[in-house]
Amino acid sequence: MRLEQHIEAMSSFAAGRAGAAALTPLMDSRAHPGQRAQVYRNSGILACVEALRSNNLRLAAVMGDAFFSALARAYADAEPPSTRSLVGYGVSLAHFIAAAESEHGLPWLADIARLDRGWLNAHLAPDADPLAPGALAEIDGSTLMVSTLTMHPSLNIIDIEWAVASLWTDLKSGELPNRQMHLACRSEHVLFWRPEGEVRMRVLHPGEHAFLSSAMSQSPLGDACEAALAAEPSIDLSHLIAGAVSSGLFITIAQQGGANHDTHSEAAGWL
Amino acid sequence: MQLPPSPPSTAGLGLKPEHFAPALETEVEGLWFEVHPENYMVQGGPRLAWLTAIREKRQLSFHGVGASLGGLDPFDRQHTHDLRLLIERFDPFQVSEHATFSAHKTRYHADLLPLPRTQEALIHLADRVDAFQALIGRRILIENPTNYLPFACELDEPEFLVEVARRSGCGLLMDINNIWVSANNVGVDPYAYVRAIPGELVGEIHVAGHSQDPGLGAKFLIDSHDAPVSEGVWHLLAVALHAWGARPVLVERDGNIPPFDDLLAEFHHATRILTASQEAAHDAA
Repeated sequence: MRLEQHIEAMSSFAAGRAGAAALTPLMDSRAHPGQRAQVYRNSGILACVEALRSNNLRLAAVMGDAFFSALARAYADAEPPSTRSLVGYGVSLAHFIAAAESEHGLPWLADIARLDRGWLNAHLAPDADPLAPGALAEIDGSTLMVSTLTMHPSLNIIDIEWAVASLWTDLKSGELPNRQMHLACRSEHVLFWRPEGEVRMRVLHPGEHAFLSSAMSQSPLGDACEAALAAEPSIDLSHLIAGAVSSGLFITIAQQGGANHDTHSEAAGWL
Repeated sequence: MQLPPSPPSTAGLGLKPEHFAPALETEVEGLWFEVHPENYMVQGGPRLAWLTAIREKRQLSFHGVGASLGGLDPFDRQHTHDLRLLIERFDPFQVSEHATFSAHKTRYHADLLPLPRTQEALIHLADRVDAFQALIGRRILIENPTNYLPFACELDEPEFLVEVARRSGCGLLMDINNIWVSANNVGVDPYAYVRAIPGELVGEIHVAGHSQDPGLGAKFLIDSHDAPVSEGVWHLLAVALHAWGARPVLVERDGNIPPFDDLLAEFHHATRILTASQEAAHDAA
């Protein structure tokens, strides 16, 4: 048996594209390998299932072991890992769960996976020092409004269709939620970031969400403030900005000289 | 190639994220840790911070699982690039991999799949080990695989591994549990196997727990790393250390992770076996 044929047959079997009979020509005395061959299919799947479990702790907790393992096996079969490191494995798990809704009947389940991914994104992101608390106070209002902020590299916003953020927060490994719990079909925008050692999360108000979404697209601070006001007219902009800075959401501010001061005078007046 | 730190002739433990805090706090002497570098191929965050803190106190060994040394695909350049960076950052005393393949035609199997022990595979694996060592700038050790099926082969496993090491310049990581499980599954003599491996090629030793196949029972053992090291494996370790001399001995545990103190108890057991082998060698000299 040539090496290439051996590798081709083993790979086909491990990937589930061929049955154990495909290994027969590889065996000593060409005997059918029987049930023992399954170890070469199960081990890889198990590695994927365990990676998915550690990347989706709250999804695994809410689903329970048997249900989660069955889902993870199906996913690993459909979407095998594309990199040699499994630390980020399962990028499309939420999509996979949503596509299988007719089978499990839980329309909110994919949102739990989306929140787990938001946590993981922040957990694995590069380290960076947040902007010092007083950094913006040194800049005059009109200059500030045309400045752009760079977000902490761990910052990501997860949009969900069901209001499951508080359920996600409450879920601890092995602790199943109250089965009578009412879940509302109401969208939420959830912020994940890691200003220092550990990942933090919170549900964003409409004004905060508009502000951060604008700032994330490299818009000047004035535009971000106007987006916040449009989404939530009663918002306290100075409180919003001070809170964002003290939470460590930004790492740098780039000042750009005054071409558009007037455009942003209305927002500047709020500071 | 840069010179790595000299290997400790003591026991080590596989480092699990569950144990970061007690692993950093423990003051036990001689303990080193081993990690799968693939689990640290991240841009930042707590796991790199923990490993950095632990490295300041302890020696580290890298045991890779993603290289696919025996495969036919080109090496994954992202993987070798990331591995190089981690080696530069953490300066492990040892870098090891497996005498198996885990990817084919871009499909990554996340498993250690066996090669046939033929002359063709031997030459291929030795060339690949040589190329891999050049890519990462370090001599590596290759680990003996677990045998589950009796593949048609031209060489026995010690002959195969020793010849790959001689051709490529790599060393061997001898997994005593793999020898034990293979002996059970495909019917080789584990003691004769140990005697056939020249000690000067052995750079590190692994011990781990195994389990019985749920369907086939004791006649088919799985290298599951989810249980304490068995009595038979501890005994074979003592025989191997007597034959090869003192080497770094790692206790691996990847499933059913117990409290850190339970793993420390196995570390102490490995240390006692190592000490006894060193005393016996000293007496003999």
